[in-house]
Amino acid sequence: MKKTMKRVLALVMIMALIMGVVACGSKKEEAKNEDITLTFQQWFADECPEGLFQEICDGFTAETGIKIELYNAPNAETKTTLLSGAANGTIADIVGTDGKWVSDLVDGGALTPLDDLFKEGNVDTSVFSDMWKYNGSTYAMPMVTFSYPLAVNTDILAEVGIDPESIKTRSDFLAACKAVTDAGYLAYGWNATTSNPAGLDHIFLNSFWASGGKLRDDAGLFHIADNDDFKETAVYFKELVDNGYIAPGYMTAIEADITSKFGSGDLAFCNPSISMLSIWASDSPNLHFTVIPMPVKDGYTGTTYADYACWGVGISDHCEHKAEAMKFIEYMFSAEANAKLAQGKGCFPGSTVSDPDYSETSENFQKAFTIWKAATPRAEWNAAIEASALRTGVLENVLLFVNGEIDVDTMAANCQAVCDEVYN
Amino acid sequence: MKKLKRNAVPYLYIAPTVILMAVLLVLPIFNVIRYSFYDNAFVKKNPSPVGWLNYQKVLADPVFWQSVRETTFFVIVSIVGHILIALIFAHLLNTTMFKQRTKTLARIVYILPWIFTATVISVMWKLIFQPAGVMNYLLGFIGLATKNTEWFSNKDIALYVVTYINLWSGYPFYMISVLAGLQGISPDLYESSAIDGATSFKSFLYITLPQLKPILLSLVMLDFVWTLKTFAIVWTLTAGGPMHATEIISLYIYRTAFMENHYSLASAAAVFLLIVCMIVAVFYTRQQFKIQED
Repeated sequence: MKKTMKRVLALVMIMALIMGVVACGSKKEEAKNEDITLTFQQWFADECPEGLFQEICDGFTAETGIKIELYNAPNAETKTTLLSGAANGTIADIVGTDGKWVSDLVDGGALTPLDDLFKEGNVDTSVFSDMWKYNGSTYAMPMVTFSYPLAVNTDILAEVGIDPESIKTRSDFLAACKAVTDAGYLAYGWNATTSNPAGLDHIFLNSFWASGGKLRDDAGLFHIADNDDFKETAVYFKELVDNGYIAPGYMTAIEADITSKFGSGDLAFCNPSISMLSIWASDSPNLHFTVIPMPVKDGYTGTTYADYACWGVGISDHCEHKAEAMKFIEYMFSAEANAKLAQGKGCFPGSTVSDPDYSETSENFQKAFTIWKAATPRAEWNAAIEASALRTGVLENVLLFVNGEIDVDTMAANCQAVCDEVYN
Repeated sequence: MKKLKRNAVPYLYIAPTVILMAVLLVLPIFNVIRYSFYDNAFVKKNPSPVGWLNYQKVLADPVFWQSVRETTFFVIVSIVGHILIALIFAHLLNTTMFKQRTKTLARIVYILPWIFTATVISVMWKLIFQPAGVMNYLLGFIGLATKNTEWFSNKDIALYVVTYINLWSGYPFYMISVLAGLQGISPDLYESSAIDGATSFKSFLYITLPQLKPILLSLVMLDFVWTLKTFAIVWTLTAGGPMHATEIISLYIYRTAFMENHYSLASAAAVFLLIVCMIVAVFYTRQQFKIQED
């Protein structure tokens, strides 16, 4: 009996020893994580409600012990900061990026390819709603997205006797614009300044994509010269301009000019970012509006695509803890963190497993989400080479056409030449 | 050793300034010149030297030449306008025909544009010139504009409007400088010319202008360099648009560097601007030496 007791005691002691070693190992790993601080250069924190983004990052620290230090800069400065940081080796470990910056950041050594890190970390890539590839490698993913539905001033539309929901096609929209203009209102806002070609994406191409238009083939090459959908969209916009349906001043208007006009009730239609919907709901109580999908070309019954802007994330080439940085990215795409960010900021999730609760948001925001879910996201400038220069070149030629200075075929050929110059 | 120490003292006094200027002025200029000879420095991980290629590319860019033409117009009209307005307003403030109180009030009103920042000026004039703004409303009374008349978005007139706003925002400095010059002219000169029967115009031509010549020359050169570098007002008014119609050289450089990420091309364009500014700076310095000698 004594012998058995001794054996049991020895076994318990061995077990305790093993447990102790295991526990020490885990503590050691935690201690190792606690020594790691990952820096994150982005513009998101400043654009979120105060403290929200830091709180989400703190959640990761609580889970893993890895600290996240946020480097904040405005969106307009982030790209230059990242490029100069990559050039002099001071770039942050994790990088916030726009899809349109990816090729420039890769060429500047600011982003590292993620495919091997996905494999090493057994990352479930199905959680990413999109993956931005350049030269065959994945470099970044959109964390959250912002769509640009058509906002309609319901008071103006009611005055001219048109139901916003009845506007489905470009012809419907032209008729509505005519009625609105005849009643003495400004119809449609287009921020077509070439200094920031956002108006090309969120208005012109938004309409083009909604009707199934496609600029690039599967290899990523641009096809515009013989693109009938593109030409049709340009002709449609020329009609809007020629008839005075586009609010004057569009050639130098920026997004804020248009949204402020709509917010003050002077404009019947515009394409705001969904983040504006909450702002109008709180700041312009007298503004009555709704959101509808972009009108499609007459007779189109195919898939509707929706333009979007986004906050993307990647890992810098200089990062010394790439595996840990990947863990952070996985965390940001987890159901809880991604939903918290989307809900808090008032935008749509970039993670397929995220299911944000928008029950507290405005009716228009919820409607915009329904419209977004019914469409397929499309933003073809993401990861394009020199996307900024291409967008400016294409917008310039579209403007020359809508102003009657060149014909539609020359416009399409010029746009193609702009892209070919970069891609050849 | 003692003598060496004594001789070193003045250099030690100016050393902090020399170091600061070297770090903040000479080094960045040197870097910009260096970037202009590299293949997209700043953006590429390992940029390689390309000789004069960036300069050739800039000179072959039609938008650069459009920008040069617009800058030439913008600078010349601004200088001529600033000096003319300065002369007229300074004379009004220097005249004996008004009471001192009236002149003080006028001086405050005239100097107001100089007090506003570029952003305030831009917002104000944007509101005035917007299609539903005051300008179209007032011109509408005489049939010269409608509520759809565009000023900044019309590429045929946008540069004129931007130049006008630059004239408005910049004249007070030149007015004050000319006024100081006018007040330094001895009244005896005017009295003797009046005794000799000179008209006011002749007094202006043969007394005022020659007396103001050193100040006016300095002002012209300063205005040239300052107007050449103008950025904030034009950027906030039109951002160089529509279709590059108001893209003066400083905006061309900014767009090429920070929006298209062609830092080397932008550096090459900036070197051209640097050369022009240096030439004017040499003339300015010579002029200042000449004034000191006189």
